[in-house]
Amino acid sequence: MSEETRLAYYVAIKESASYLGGLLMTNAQGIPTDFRYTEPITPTKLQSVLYGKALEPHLKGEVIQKALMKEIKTPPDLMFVQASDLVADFAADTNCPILAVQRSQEAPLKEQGAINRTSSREVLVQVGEGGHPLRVIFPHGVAEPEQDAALQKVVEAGYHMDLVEPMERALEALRTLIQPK
Amino acid sequence: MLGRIRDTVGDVAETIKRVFKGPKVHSAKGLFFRDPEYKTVSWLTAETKGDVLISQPSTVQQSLLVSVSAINPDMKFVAKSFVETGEVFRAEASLVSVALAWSGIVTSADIPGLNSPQMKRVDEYFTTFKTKSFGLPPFDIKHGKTYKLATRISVPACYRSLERAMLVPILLRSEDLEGVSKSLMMRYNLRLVKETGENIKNLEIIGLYQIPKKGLRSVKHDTTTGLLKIIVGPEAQNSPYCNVVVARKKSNSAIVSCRVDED
Repeated sequence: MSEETRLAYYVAIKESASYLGGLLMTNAQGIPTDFRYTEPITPTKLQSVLYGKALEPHLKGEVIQKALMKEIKTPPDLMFVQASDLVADFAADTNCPILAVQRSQEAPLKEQGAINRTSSREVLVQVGEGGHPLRVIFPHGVAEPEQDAALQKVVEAGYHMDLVEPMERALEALRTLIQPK
Repeated sequence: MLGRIRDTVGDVAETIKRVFKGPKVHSAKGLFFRDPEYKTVSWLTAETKGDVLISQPSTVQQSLLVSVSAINPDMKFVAKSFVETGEVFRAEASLVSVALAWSGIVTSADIPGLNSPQMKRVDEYFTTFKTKSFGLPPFDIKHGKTYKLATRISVPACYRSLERAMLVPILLRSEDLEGVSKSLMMRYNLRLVKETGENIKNLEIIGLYQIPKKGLRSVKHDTTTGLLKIIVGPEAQNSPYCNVVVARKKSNSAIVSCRVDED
């Protein structure tokens, strides 16, 4: 992966009755190159009632994520989201693969770059030599060829950096926004 | 002659008078009516009936003045209740069939009226069940207005703060030391001894990390997790990277580190 590699870590959290999101961009080494965040959105009572259970997925997958992606001029090579947020209907016009990565306790796969498909959406991939493979989860409806293309990028990016760690950083940065000063 | 005629007419008149004389009248008292004897007969029961009345059965004991001789199995009394207007209730018994006299004897019987049965107005029992109704005004749809409320959630404003992201420590994992070739590791050891002045036997290498050469604000090693916490500034974005070896002094467990790349 080139020096121009851009990885995006998208997080959205709920604080009290408000939602806010952040987008951390890093280079191939995990060094932050950009960080954007939204103002908190507080749905009205009427909106909460009308949207029901669809409110949170809609906010995370549509409203906040779209607003942040608009701010990014060049689409990232990969966009990482939290696995719990993959149920959200992420906008199809992100122009980059959307996925979640988790550390696993599975036995190492044969070689770097090896994959083990555990379900139609979930893949174990060996990003480094030795060590546990990463668990990669895709949203619903991502075809296998698209998954393979994204996995190739994951392997390349994971060779240089810990792909999971920046997500925790993005969350931490977002939390600092709502902590009382 | 005239005298004889006058006598004859007088005789005829006397004869007619005697013929048409009224019959003897005798008093029937004591002959046809016996003195009444009195006896108490069975009680009459009056019960009220009605759809909206709760009847309180009440019995009225009443001595019926009937000639003993008039009592016979054919006598039937029927109790009746009446609801008159207002709050007046009346009950009475009527004799529907009785043989009062038989041949040769003329008799009569008086049936006294029954006392009013004990009845209560039922209104008091229904006071708690009274319902009221009132008419609702019809909906005036013709002049009704409709409103549209904004349900769409507006796009939030976005802000940029790279500094905020930079404040959060970056956690670096050590590279796999076993994956490093022996020759390269030997070179790193030499460099470590040279930079720290320690004997190699007193050093235990615990990690090999890649950190940016520029913009490094702070470095901390977490011995429990083996992670290297670094805080960098914006200059780190385009900075080249260097390898840093972190080692622990066996003598006092102090942590030492040094860049092992040759410039």
